[in-house]
Amino acid sequence: MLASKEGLKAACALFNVLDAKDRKAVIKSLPVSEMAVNKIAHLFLIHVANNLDDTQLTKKKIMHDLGLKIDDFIEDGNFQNVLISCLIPLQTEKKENGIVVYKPNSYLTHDDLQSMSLFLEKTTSKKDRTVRGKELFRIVQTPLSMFFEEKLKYQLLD
Amino acid sequence: MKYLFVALAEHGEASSSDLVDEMLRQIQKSYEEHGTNQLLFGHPFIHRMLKDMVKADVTALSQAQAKVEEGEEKPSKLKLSKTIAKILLKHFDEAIKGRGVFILLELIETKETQHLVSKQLKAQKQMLKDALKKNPKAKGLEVLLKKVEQV
Repeated sequence: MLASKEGLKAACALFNVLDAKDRKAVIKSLPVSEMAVNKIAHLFLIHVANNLDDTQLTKKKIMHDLGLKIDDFIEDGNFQNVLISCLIPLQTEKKENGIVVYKPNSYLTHDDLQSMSLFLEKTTSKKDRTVRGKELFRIVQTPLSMFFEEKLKYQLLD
Repeated sequence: MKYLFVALAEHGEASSSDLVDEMLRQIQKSYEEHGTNQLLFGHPFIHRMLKDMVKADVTALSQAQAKVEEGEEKPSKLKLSKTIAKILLKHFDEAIKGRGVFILLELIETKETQHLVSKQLKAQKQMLKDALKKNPKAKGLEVLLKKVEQV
């Protein structure tokens, strides 16, 4: 399903309307490490992390796996995007016609954000995006800081 | 990495982060670019990151001030911007001869951080003029000089 943009659209839309219990079941079945480096599938991970109210579940089922792969995948742009989306979370805006879409940002293309925005206005998420953003930041801050501390000068010049 | 540092600044965590401390120490070291030695804060990537961190620090301050109005917490005191300003003023010669000038420009153009550099920049106006004479193509320096004269 996540091999095409149309599939991504459908997956994100379905995730939006699922209740917390079904969302949990979806997350438990995801091959996170594989998805994080895939051109399209990583966008679904970003959508999940930015919409799931239970950030402890995000930490356990998504970020834990990614944390283990930082050394291997840090150079991968898709992998970086997933981590960046937790540092600078996605924001939404409501259009005049009542449709909610993701606001443009500096790390994802307009086309990608459009594909992830279907049914955002029908989301079952209740948590405020600012609160979720702070929690996501706390989750990724430590493993990333530890990674960069080791070879900071090299990383700065790279 | 840039996003991590900017996020640390935006969440008001930069002043208590060991990683940021280490980064601020590293940017004062030299590196070679086109056969000449420069300080790392003048690196094409790093100077933009530092500019974004100053912006994020100011955002964190305004968010904290909004919370004070709601009676939640005390505002941060632009500790990160202060430290960056101190570093640039300490290495003033290197800063105005390289891309550090753009960070100084960011600091002086932003209302909240202007006071951190305005006094020192005014006092060093002649030095800025001399540097511009030596390198008239330095647009950043030209804009900075204009800004210093306006403040």
